[in-house]
Amino acid sequence: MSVGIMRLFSQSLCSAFQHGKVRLLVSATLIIFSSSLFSMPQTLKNGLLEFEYERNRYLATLLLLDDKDRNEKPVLYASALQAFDMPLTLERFNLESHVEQANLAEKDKFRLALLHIEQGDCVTGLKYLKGKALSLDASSQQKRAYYRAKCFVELGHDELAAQALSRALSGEWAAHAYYNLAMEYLATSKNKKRALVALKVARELNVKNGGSAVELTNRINLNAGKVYLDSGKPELANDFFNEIPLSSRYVTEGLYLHGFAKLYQNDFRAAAQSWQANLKHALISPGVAESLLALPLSYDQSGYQTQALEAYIDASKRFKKELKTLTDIKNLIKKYSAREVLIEDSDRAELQWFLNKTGAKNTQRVAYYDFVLQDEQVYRNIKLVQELSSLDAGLGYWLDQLGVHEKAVKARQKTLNGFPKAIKKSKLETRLSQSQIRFETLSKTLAQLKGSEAERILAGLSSRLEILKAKSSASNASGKGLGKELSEQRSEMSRLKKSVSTAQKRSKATLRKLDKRLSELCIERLNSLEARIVGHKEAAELGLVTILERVARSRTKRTNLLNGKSE
Amino acid sequence: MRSALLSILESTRTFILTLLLALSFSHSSFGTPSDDALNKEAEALKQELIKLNQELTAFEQKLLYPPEVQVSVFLSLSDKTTFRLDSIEISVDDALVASHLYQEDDISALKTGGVQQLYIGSVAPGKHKLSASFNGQGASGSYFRRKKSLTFTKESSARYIQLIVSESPGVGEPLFKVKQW
Repeated sequence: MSVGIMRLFSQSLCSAFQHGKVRLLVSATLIIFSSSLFSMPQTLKNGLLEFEYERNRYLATLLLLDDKDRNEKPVLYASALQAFDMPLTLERFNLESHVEQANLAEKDKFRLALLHIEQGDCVTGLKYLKGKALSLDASSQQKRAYYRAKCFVELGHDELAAQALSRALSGEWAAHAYYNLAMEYLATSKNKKRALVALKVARELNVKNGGSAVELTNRINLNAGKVYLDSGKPELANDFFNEIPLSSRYVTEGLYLHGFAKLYQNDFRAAAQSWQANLKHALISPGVAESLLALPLSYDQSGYQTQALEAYIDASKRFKKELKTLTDIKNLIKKYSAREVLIEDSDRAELQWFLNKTGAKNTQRVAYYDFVLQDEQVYRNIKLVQELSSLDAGLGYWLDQLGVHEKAVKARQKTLNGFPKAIKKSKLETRLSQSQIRFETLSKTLAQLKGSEAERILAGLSSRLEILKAKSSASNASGKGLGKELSEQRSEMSRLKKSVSTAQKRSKATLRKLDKRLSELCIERLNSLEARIVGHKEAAELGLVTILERVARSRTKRTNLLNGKSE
Repeated sequence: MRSALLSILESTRTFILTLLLALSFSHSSFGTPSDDALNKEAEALKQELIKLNQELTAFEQKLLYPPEVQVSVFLSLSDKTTFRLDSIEISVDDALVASHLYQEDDISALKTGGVQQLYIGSVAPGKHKLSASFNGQGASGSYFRRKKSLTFTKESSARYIQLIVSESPGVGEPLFKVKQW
């Protein structure tokens, strides 16, 4: 999975986090787990495993895999672990001997290849990506082509990467692959045409209408525009920048560069408009601070000194204000932790200013969250915190469930203990039989109400009676008394509750440590941002001083120190 | 004015190049040994929590759905079928017990050999009626709704019912089969 896609995935997770959906997600996953997994026919279980894995529900897949499955399906097991961010040593899975013994299906070969590629071993990865793999569906074919191309690029074989993509039909994966190829061409080749062609193909292939696909198109347009601008073709560059919608996260960069392209075309007014429009966005978004500095610079260079002065003063004020915001955020992180300030929902009054909409569309918090997420280590840490929080919420769910079950079992025990011991089994059976007789009498009386609500209620009652009878006879048939079975259930519940409580304590302790580290990392990242803003502020003030000095010089008579005459 | 613009363009070029580098650069800090230790601790915990979840699941299943009353319904899709499943509704003894709206990812997972569990519940021993309503689009693009019913007998062991959507060769009409395990 590309870092870009991973980030989008993470952002969607974070948004779930921010909206308190984690518990819901966990509950939903656990409902899936509550299936008859452990005794079901193996064919069905295999299909269920495939379904959960292909739906990217890796935790559910891991929970379904018992010891037998893990031995028989090491590729699926290792893949699910890797996808769930568990550290892997591939040797542990004895995959090579599995490959020799089993006639691997194409999808297993592909998974095997991904395992090696994600471990940084493209050579072995490519070994499992040989051939056409026609049995794979269109979507998997695209992913396969993407990873083949990615490996060839990493190994420095751009031509082979292009060949690998020639069979990619269309779709987001193929578009991502072409985009990556274009970036590689830009980094390694002086001939920008190849990069532009790859970008064009990427755009053509990206036909899907969806969040990540649309953002990919925006990224393609931004980069194509950059290439044209860098090649001195501002008109063509703007054709691409104009395509980036205001709702895109790339709009601020696009607006900034759009302004420069307009300046290239001597259209000063349009340039200023683009930069001015950018000032509605959060100052820390890419290109916004640069727009703020570009405005007075261009006013000044174009001879509008007063406007330049005003724009410099405004820029300096805005940078100063942002520095104050930054200090406040750092203090809040120190006080409450990065998780509370930047990631999760919070009702704290002290954080409300940070959550209010201030920019064109998003809160300041989104801009800051986006900024810290650009750091690889912060990103990994946030992902780990999310996964653990999700598991931790799951533990809470289980404690609740065990509590409910325990109450129910206690109630059953109480009822059972209410009967004299010698007759309790027979009493229970007698009560069931009496209920049956009463039910039959009622049925006869209400026979004329066929199709009515009463009939449905009777059918429900009948079904419940049958279930109770079946459960009762099952517990008797197994040779255990109901009382004994209930006691066993309660002791098992107590044991599990203890395990869950211990695990919950450990998980909370680890989460606290992770949270502390995350806060440190975020503060480091914010310090780097602070240094950048200070630099921008100084640039604005320097610009202001330069203009003032120039004005002062032009208005003051200077004396030639050599001959004492005025100049 | 012209020279001013030229000078802007000169400085702009440097400015843009710097910006391009700055914008595409993603900061990356390096992990410390204490980070490694913390990561290992978190990974070990994750592993432990997965095991614990498995135990809890098995226990709950035993408690809620003993084999004497358990019935589960599954769905699979033939990889060659052109039928586009939109939704499904499952009824047991004429009471709606489960429904699902299909997304592209669900269909794709089903077509690669996945089997979806649609329902797990309890029924009394004896005869019962299971109905499944399939809503979707056929090969011609026309919408249709097809109902498939089955009478099954619940005995002492758990009952697994698999609904299979395939396609009649040549005609292209979707076929709905039921398999009892």
